[in-house]
Amino acid sequence: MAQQLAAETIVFAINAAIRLGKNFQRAYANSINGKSIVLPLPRFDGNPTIISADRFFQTPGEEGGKDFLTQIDHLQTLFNKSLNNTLSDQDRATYLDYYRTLFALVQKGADDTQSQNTGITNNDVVTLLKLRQWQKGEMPFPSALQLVAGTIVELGIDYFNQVPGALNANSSYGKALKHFLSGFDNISFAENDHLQQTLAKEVIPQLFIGAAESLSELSAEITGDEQFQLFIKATAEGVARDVLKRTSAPDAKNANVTIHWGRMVVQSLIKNAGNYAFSSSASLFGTNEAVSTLINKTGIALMSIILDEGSTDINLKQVLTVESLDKIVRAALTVVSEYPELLSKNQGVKEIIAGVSEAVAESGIQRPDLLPEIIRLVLEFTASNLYRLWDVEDTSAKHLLLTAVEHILRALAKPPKTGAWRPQLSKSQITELIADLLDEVVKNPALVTNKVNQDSLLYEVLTATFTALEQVPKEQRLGWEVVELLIQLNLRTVLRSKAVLSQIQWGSEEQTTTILNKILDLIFSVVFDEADGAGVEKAKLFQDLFEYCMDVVVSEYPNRLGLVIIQVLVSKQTGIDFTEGFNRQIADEIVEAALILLTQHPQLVSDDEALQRIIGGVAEALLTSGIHQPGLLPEIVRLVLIKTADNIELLFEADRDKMEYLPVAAAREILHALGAEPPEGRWKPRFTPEQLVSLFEFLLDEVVQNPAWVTDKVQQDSLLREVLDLTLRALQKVPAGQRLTAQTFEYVLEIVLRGVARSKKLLERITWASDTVESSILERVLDLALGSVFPPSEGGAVDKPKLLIDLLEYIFDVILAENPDAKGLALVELILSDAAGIDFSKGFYSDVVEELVEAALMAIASHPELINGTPSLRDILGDSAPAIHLLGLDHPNIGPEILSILLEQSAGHLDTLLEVQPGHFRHLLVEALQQMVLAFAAERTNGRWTPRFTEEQVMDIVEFLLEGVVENPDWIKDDFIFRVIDAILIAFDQKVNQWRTPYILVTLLIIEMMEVAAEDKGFLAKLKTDKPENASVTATYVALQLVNFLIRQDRNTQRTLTNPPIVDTMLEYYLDTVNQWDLSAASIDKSIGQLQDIVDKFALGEISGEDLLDLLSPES
Amino acid sequence: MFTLRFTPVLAFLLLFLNGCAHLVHLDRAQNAFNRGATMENTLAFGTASTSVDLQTANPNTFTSQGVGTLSPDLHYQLAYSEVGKALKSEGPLKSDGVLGTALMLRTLCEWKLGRYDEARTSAGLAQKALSDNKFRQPRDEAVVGAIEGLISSEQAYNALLALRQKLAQQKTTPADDVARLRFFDEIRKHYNENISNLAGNGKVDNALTVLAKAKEQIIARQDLQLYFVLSQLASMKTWLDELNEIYLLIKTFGYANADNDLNRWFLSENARFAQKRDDVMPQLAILLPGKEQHANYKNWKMLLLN
Repeated sequence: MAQQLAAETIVFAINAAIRLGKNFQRAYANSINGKSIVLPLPRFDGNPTIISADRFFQTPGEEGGKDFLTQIDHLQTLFNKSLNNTLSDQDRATYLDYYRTLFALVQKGADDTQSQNTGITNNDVVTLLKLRQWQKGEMPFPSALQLVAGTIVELGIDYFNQVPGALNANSSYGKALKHFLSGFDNISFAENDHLQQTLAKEVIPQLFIGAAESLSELSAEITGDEQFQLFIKATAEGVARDVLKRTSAPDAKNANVTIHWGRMVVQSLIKNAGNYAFSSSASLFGTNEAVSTLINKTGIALMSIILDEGSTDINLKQVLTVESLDKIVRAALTVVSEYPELLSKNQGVKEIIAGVSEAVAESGIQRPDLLPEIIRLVLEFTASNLYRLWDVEDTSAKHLLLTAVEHILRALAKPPKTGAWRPQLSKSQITELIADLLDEVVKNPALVTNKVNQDSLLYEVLTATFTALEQVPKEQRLGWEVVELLIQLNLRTVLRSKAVLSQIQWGSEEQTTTILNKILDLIFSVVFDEADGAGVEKAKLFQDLFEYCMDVVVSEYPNRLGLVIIQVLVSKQTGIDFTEGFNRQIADEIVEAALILLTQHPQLVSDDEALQRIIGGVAEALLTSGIHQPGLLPEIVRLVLIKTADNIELLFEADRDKMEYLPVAAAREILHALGAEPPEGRWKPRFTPEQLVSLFEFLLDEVVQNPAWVTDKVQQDSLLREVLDLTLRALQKVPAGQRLTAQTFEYVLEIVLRGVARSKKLLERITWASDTVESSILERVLDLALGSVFPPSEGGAVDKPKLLIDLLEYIFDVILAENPDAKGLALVELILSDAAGIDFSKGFYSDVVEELVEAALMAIASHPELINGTPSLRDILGDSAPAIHLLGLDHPNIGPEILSILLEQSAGHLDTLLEVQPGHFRHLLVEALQQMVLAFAAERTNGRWTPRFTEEQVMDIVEFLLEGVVENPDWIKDDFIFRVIDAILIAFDQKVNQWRTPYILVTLLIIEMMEVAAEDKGFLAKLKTDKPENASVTATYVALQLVNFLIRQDRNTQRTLTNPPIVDTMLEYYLDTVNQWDLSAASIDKSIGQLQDIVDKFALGEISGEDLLDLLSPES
Repeated sequence: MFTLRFTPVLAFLLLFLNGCAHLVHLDRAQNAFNRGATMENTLAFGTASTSVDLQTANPNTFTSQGVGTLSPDLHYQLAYSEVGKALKSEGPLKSDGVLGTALMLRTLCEWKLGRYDEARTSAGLAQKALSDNKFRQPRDEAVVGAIEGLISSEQAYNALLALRQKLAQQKTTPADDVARLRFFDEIRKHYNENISNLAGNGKVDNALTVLAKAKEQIIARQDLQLYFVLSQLASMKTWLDELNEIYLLIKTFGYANADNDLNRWFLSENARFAQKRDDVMPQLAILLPGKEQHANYKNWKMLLLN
């Protein structure tokens, strides 16, 4: 370069500006003229029309979409709506989406591969609408580059190199350019015109353009750095030498290509080296020698790889772009700045890059376009992990990532089996995948170093994954992100345990696969089950399920056990409904249950048949039971698995040659019983899934605790089935509106099972009462109890769970526990009878019935025939019921007490008390009771008398009467009891409005009168009197006179006579006195007079109460 | 292409010192127009959802298939403003050989901004400037020559939007047959004027004819051929959209399955459309890489099925 132009600097600068200016304007105008313009289309609606969609779905065959209508119900609905023009906006959008998607599917159809491989998208048309003024080679004037480039370069070289200071040569930019240009000064070439020409006219201008462009993008801080300037100089020199060497070689090919790449490398080196030069040690950038080595090992090495013919047929020149070269250079500089020692080793950046090329070539993937990105990735990963990945001292050692790249690409290149789907990955997706995988390898070199089945873990995982993906039906292809996730999860799993890649025999003996493969098979088969339609987003389901299986099951059990658990989880027979998506809670429960079973009984892991017997058995049981409850099966399966775990030894012979696990058999019995439909018009309990599960669990527990429920038979059925059937049958009779809750039902079952467990005699069938059909005691007891608690007359929604439970508990735990037979049934009948009339409306109180039961037991003990003889207890109760009912109107709790006395008094005396004739019987006590009640309950002038007595007073009279009849059966003759009581009550009835009747007096008078009247029938005869107004029964007159006396007494004195013991003694005195005479009115009056005399003394205070008693006593 | 990046400040100064402002304005106008057109074309082909909200679309204010600040019209407006500034220096533009290009650009801006009459005037000036230029500018000549077709196509589209809006706002449908037939007469009239008729002077008819002629002028230029074919298809989509509205009305009134004049007329127009489409689609296939396998071909096939 000439040095003599310094004096003409200013003139030179002005000339240069003019030259540049003219050329620039011309170039600019030309560039505008030649510039591409994007032409917009006339506006149109880019959405498809309904007419298109309708036409498509009406058209059969390969070009039409008619077949989809039968495959997609929702589409058929939308299609019909469209034909009727009733699509909503939302429907319309969905319908057109279907059209878009399915039209595309039909279009791809047979020629799918071709359309995918063209790589052309709709977006490409946008590019095609960018139009130039002239086509290539038709431009009528030189290009802008041609116009100005040469000039600028010439000017620039002269200007900056030879006229320092003319335009701020002290600026960092100026200095940097100067260093670059000065790099050429060091090149000493032979006196060869050709070379000189090349260097001056072609190489240097091109390299200068590259350098100037790159430098303009750097900060002044970088371009001003001395180390960097040294680097620039070395770059200029190194690359220029290399380019010259190549272009001047005898076998040099296209010099322009060489110069082009030289410029690219220079550009890239300068652009990317700044940061490293700025921060790296002097050993890397500080000396001419160091920088020269750096250039040689990076830039020149790259030139060599790009331009030299390599061992592979991949041509890097064809796939490198400015950007990708930049990235590679940056990555290479990063590696050497991290490991400067690499510069002095035999192995370095060049070997890495060459190695990647080889790996790509060897993989057979036929994707050279991937090479730049893979080179960059390998370099970048190497930059911080060199020694982890590569033994650079050992020249035979292979970089781990090169092996990884080769394995990854080989797996990707492996063709799918014929007709199978394989994800078609875009370039960026493959790059992303490789980046992720290399990252994994860096973190876990074992993925490449460890082998299984002859290949690296990495290769095996990828192959397994892609093989599994082949199962996915074409129309349900997975999104890339799902595939990537799948790979990640598989890697994670394999790293945790490479056992998942071990071979396993599965199914038929010939079938051998890896555990991982089998897991994927199982999951794919459930997720992409074509029969399930398109209800759920498959990709999401797959992702959730797979992630779950890997994280929860396989990570802990990377073996056959894990596989079996997953099989249980996804088996159709387990019944988890995946069409609604993945439910983690259900999955957890099933997995936990399966684990409990399989870890406790490892032998089942390899016993497919046993597991099938359990799960399949449950599924079949539910299927045949007629119960259709969503979500029920998995819960049932879970419970059965858990129960089987604890009771594996409980095998039960269901059929000949077929052993069944007890919980499975129990499940069948339970489900069939609960699923059986009642006769039409009858009710049966309906349960929610939760209630069914709770009930099922309870029953299963019962069976496990007592296997006899299933093993013991009642005729054809198991004990359990019989009990459930009987109970349900009884419940069917509960009237509408009074239905049991599930909880109550469960309690009822609990009580019943407890009862039957205590004694199976409850299931014995007997003929009861007048029934002609045999039925079990249990059924009858339940009928009675339910009939009592839920009488048909009560129409409203009355839920009486507590009463029912209390009652049943008493019946089963007290009565039937001791008497699991007809006697028990009789007792139940007794306490629930109308005769007992027990009011359960306020609940069940055992003390009310205990006495009655005791009395009945006593009676039955003496007369067992009462149980089911003629007459039976029930008959007697039936006879006494009306009387008790009448009393019960005013004294609701009196029934059991009366019955108790009746039964107690009957005990041991039935021979005398019972008169039996064909078709008829008389129980004297019942008759006595009836007479008494008739007298009491009769309507009198002032109403009925029963409410006026206390329950205690009534019971005193009843007890007295029944005891009396036992001793004197004659009392019931001629309505004796009725007449006595009636006579007395007539008297009192007359005075009831004048006097506050002391009912104790009435009670005592009845009792006393009963005895004296029994002695002397005159009491019941007509009164002897002269006065017609006194005409009445003698007893009535006796009572009336006493009442009159007491009324007078009440008016005249404060001293009361109607309290015990005075009233007892006074009454006795009076009746004794009356009885001594002739029972005429006069003698009765006289008796009253006598009584009056004595009482007056007491009333006047002449004598004390004690004295009065003394005077009235019989001894006086 | 060499972009002068390395001396941006110097280049800028030099250009203005030498009076290149008109070129800068023209350059900016081109860039702005390209951005608008790229955006519009991308919306038309790049994404699935280019739909127009029928309830709110107003043909007078409707902007090119995009809404909001990213509207292509914003870029067209900017381009229009810049090209206007450039054209203030008509002499320099002419001496630099870019006057025809500038006028062509103004024509396109006016077309896209709905200033159809102004577009026609600019197109006339552009044709003259282009013919006066010392070298031919084939792209600009072809585009200016086809402008009438492009205008007709957009006018048809605007008419379609107006019809849709009218139908959407119409609260009740005619109750009796007489009113319905009167209603349908109006629709048919709208169709004949704005879309197609047997005399071949509907708006879409015009568009298709002019664009077909434009194609014939530049047989050697496949890129321009492709543009005109796609423009024809865009017009035909508007045609089908109008037919679709009629199809929906016929279904609404229960005429679809009946033998009546209206249905017969609709079916014959539908057939006419199919015939025209089947003429144009093969032309598209020839011009696209991959032919019938090209995604854009399939997209048009999907859009124009009837």
